[in-house]
Amino acid sequence: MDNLNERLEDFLDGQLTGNELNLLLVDIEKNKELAKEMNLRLEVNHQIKDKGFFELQDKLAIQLNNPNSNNPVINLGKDFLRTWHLAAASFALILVVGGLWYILSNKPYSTEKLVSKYYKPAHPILQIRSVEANNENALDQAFKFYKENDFNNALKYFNSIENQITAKFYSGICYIELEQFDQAIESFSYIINDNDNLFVEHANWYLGLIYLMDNQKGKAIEQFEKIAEEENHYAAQANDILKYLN
Amino acid sequence: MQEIRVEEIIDGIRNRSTDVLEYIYKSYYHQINVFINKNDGSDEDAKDIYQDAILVIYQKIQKDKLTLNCSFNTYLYSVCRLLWLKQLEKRKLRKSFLEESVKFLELDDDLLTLYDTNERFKLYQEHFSKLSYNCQKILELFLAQIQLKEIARILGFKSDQYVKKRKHQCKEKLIASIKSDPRFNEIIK
Repeated sequence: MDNLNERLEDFLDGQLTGNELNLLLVDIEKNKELAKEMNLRLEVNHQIKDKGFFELQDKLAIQLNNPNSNNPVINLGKDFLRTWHLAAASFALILVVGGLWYILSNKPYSTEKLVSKYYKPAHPILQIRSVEANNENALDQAFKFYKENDFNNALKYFNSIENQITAKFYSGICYIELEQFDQAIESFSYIINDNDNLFVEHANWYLGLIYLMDNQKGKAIEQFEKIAEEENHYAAQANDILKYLN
Repeated sequence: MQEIRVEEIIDGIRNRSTDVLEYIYKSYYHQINVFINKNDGSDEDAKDIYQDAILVIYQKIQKDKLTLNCSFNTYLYSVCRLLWLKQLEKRKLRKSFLEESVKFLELDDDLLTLYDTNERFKLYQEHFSKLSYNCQKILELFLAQIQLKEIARILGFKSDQYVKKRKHQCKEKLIASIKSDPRFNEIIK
């Protein structure tokens, strides 16, 4: 069975060729159970790759379960009554509010508001490890502390792993959380300069946010302009930020 | 709240836009909630059906180009209605008629097929998230077609051969875990 599963995996990974491939294809055609097994493994691969689906699922779950959200079901009755009661009192107020709005709307969006809107602390790009840790592995130890928001201890372990991209990336997040922006910039710059890894896009994004947090507006604008020009996950958000910064 | 065109809603779902999701929720969720509650459901059921409907629509958008000849409200309601009927069947509560006052479309069964696929995806994801950190990362990086050597470098492993062996072990562990789930036989039909 093990050997068969290995052949299936090699087939799905595109590593079977020639006679081996032909034999497996014949087996799959003849054997319904084998075909089902292959479909299961193929679907599991799709699930692992489909980050978009689970990102959407998470967003919907947050929306539906957030007790502070403006729940259209609960608030419908309240809003209806409130509208009538406030209508009479609001005419005079509108004039004052309107004037204030005009003045305030010409002020740029504050940096703090931008950061709190766009910075999502420590959400992992990839799945955070499960609780079954291998305690001897520095990366596992680092993530154990990281999960507990103990960024100082997490850093000790991340920094003990030399020249490892994942460790560098998450050490950058730890430095952000500890407001050690110079070190955070160093970590993300390492990833960006390496360029040949999965974290580059995210490192560029966080670098932009760090410049915002550190009140380096000019560098922030430059960084977000660079992100906005690229076709990636953060381009739309970078454009939003630039509207406020400019 | 400014109205958004159907095409923008579809784009927004495709891109998982928080603003568009917020708009859909604020504009349409109440009606779904009322429908579910009037037809043997609860608030929790309404949340589940709403979430499942958006996920089905998302998958539909990814697979085919979705063009609507009706309002998004009608389409969403129709999808929720279809999923709720299926749920009632499962609970053996099939009704001869539903209490509803909203127009709906008769939809193809392919949406139910997408729903079933999504249910399987959720099961796989549950078990995937229980794997160790390294196993998850090996599988993700491998399926993102990162070279074995690079995976070894990223994760600090000895060699690409070791990565290959671990990848195989992790995948087998995941498959075994999924198959051991009591829901597996129900979901895989």
